[in-house]
Formats: sequence, structure tokens, C-alpha cells
Amino acid sequence: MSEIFNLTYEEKIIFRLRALYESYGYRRYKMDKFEEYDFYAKNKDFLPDEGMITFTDTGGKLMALKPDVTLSVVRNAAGMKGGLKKIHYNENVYRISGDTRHYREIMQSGIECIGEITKAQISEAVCLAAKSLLEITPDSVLDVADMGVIGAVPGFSSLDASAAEAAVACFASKNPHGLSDIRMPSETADVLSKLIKLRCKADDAETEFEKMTDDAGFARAAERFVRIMKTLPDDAKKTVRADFSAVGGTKYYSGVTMKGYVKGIPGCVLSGGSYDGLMKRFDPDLGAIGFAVYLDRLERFGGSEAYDV
Amino acid sequence: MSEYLNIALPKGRLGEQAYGMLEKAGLACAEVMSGSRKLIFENPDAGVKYFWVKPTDVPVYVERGVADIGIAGKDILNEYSPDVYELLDLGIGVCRMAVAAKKDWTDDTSRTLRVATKFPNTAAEHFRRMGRGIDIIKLNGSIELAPILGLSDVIVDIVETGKTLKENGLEVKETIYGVSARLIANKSSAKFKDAEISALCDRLADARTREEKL
Repeated sequence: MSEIFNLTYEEKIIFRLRALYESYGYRRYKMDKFEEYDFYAKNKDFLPDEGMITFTDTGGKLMALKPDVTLSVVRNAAGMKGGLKKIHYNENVYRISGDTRHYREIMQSGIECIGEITKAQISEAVCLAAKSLLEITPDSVLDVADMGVIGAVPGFSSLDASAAEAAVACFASKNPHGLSDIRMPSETADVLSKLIKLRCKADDAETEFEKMTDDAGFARAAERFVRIMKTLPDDAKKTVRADFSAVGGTKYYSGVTMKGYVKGIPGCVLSGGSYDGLMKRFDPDLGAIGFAVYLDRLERFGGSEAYDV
Repeated sequence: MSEYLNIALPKGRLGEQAYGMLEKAGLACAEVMSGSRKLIFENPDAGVKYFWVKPTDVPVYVERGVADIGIAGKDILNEYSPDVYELLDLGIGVCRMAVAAKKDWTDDTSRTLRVATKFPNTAAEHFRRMGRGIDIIKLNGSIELAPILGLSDVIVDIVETGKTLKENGLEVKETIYGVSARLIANKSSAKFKDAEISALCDRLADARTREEKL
């Protein structure tokens, strides 16, 4: 009987996260492991990598082992009428590992909230992301950014697609000097540089934005972000930081984006954000926000090993 | 997570130059330059640990969090795209990534261009942007030999003064981008050792600005 409770650290976290999400009204969602390959081929822009494990099923149809959860959730939610669909999941996805370029099975827990998304749902998702990290350890931070604020930087919308993409890449690598390789007005570069360097507590974001530019469009976008940060409860706010290196990753995050880190784990363990752009491809009346916790990255966490150089 | 600031230095001249900058920025560790065969050096008073690694491995140590920060050339960062922060251009190790070929070479666009390089991703991306079909020949050293012996039409490689090319009858045909050494940081370390890393970054940036004014 005692063996039932001999859980690994990741298994304990899965139960804690499930309890957290269900306390906020999220319902368990169980998915198929396979999806038609065509579905991902048509939406490959939104996948982190083009590689997929494929096979032919007994009916001759080309199938893929799921490389992504969100795309399947979005497709299943399209057509829903009114209200919010709030789901949580614990699923494995199959992706190419960044460095070795081999396929890996990645265990994820996460939430998706689909429907008429207002600031309240965005704030709740950010709060749940922060609390998810706190379930792992109090030594955690959640970086929050907003593509809308970047888009509102004066002159940014006039950049061509490749210049805009290169500028966003500078955010992801916190690389302000990389902007000098991109042709843009000096005012645009100046504000983007300040935004790249920004790292502050949730309550300090408003003051920091005011120092960047007087532009009215930027002020409106920044105000939206600031209001989301201000509505976070105090326990979540402690670990939240305005840090625009949280942009990047898959192309479907179009508004608020978040990346979570835990002391002792080298990369991010949580990633997510608003993906209205993707959702509207399937249903123009719906918005969406969500995040995933990468449970496989907790494998060496929980006290058994640590790097001691 | 170790409470030391763990720094990966690239073996060779660049690493020694970078250490000099870090030493002036308050992170001295005298044993680093002693010529000892040790690989790890620590100064508990400064709260720093250094280790010498192969230059192409610096981003790996940093990405994996074993090193909090490291020094890596922009050529290596562009080639391997590690998931790290690129906090500062140190302004040392200045050179360029270039396409080079024999002096009398001209491009025959009716044929696939054979490109020898240590940087296959960089070469592929450069010629992909130009829409030029290429055959990449991955080499690990003495790249200049390739066009001389007819293994390739051109090379894509780092060029500093251009002396090695000139002595072998080659010349730069095109500069792809400028290269210099960058201070890179593990993304998680940058959150939890933010104060130390930011302060170091500021000191290095100030030192670089003073150097440029001289």
C-alpha cells in the first residue's frame, strides 16, 4: 500500500498543479496522442519545429504523434457559443530536441482558456502561471511581456517583416546592441533598447514605461499591460517581473507572453501567453490564453543532484 | 545553484583577453593565467569560478547552466543559436565572417557552388538568402586549403587581417557579417544572479566605453 505513495517529484507536482487549476474552475481535458499530419502541415507556422514523428494508420491515413497541445485544443474549441472553455491537461508531446536534433517525449501540464478573453482572464492566467511555479519552489520567477507594447513602439509598425522579426529576436536574447544591425529610425531603436533592458517588479512597470517615450500609442499599450500586472494578487505578484525577453518561441503568441524560471534549472520551465491570432484562424469570435509547465525539466530538481562546479 | 559566479572562458587568446577585462571589472583570480593544467579556478573572496573550455563549447556550458556567464564569438552564437542571453558586445576578438576564394575566381552560376566551411549553418543561411544553390563541405580546420586543392569553389570562414588568405593566393569576395566577442548568460542565472551579472555588465560596458574614447 505504501508503494502507491512512492511518487516521483514530477508526479507530486502533477497532482499539485491539478489541484491548483481545478480550484480556479479548470476542468481536466484528455487528448488523443495522434492527430492527422495534414492538420499540422497546414498550421506549421505555429509549431516550434517542423519535425514530426509520423506513421500511416490502418486506414492508410498519415498521422503524427502530437508535437503540440494547443493546436488540438483550439481546433476542438472552434464553434463554441458563448462563455469560456477552461481546461487543464497533462499530456506528452513529441518534438525535436533543440541541441541534439533527436526526437524527445516531453511531459507537459498546462491550462487553456478559450472564449471571450478579457483582462480578467489574462490576469488569471498570469496569476496561475506564477502560482504553478510557486508549487515547484518559492525560488521562482515569472517573466511577463506583451507583444502589443512592442508593436506600439513608435516606428515599429513601419518596419518590414524581416526587420521586425530580427528586432523581436533581440528581445528574446536580451541583446540591445543587435538592434544596430537592423535599419530603423533612431527613436525606434532607442525605445526598443530600453524595453529590451527592462526588468522590474510588476508594480514598477508603469514608472519604467513612462521613462521610455511620450508617444500616446505606446502609453495606451503600456497602460493595458500595467493594468493586468496591477490586478495580480500579492502572492503571485511577488515572483512576477516585467521582462520583455519573455517574447519569442512559437509564432502563435500574439499579446501577453510569459516564461517561468526556477532556481537551479537552467532553462525556462513554463511558457505561454495569449494566442488570439491562432484562435481566430479557427473561429474569428474567440480569443485564447494558456501556458504549459515542462515537467521533464524537473527531472533533476527536487534535491537529488545539483551542479557543483 | 552554486552561489559562485561561474564563468566559462574560451581557451586561447580571446579567453586571455576576456579574462583581463573581467579581472579589471573586479573578478580577479590570479591562478587562471598561471599556466597550470587545472581546468577550474576559484577565488572565494571574489565569489567567482572560472573554467577553460573549447571555444565552441562555451555556449553549451552556459545554456546548460553549468556556467552562469561565458565569452563567445558572434560567429559561434550565429552558427549554433544557443538559447542564452547575449548581454554585451565586448569589442574584442574583432574579425568578420566572409566568403573567400582564389583571386582569379569568378562565380559560374550555371553550376552548384561548392562551399567549404567550419560553419555550415551560417553558409547555408547566407546563400539561401541569395537564392544560390550550394553544396556544403564541412571541414574542421585549414579551410583555406579547400579552394587551392580544388575541393571547393569558395570558403566561408572567419577573417581577421586577411594575411592567411593573401599568403595562400585567396581574397575576400564578400563580408557576411562582423564578428566580435560577446558576454553571454544563462537565462535562469540572469534571473537569480541578476544583481551580480547586471553589475558586471555595467562595469564591462563602462570599461569598453573608456577604451573606445582613448
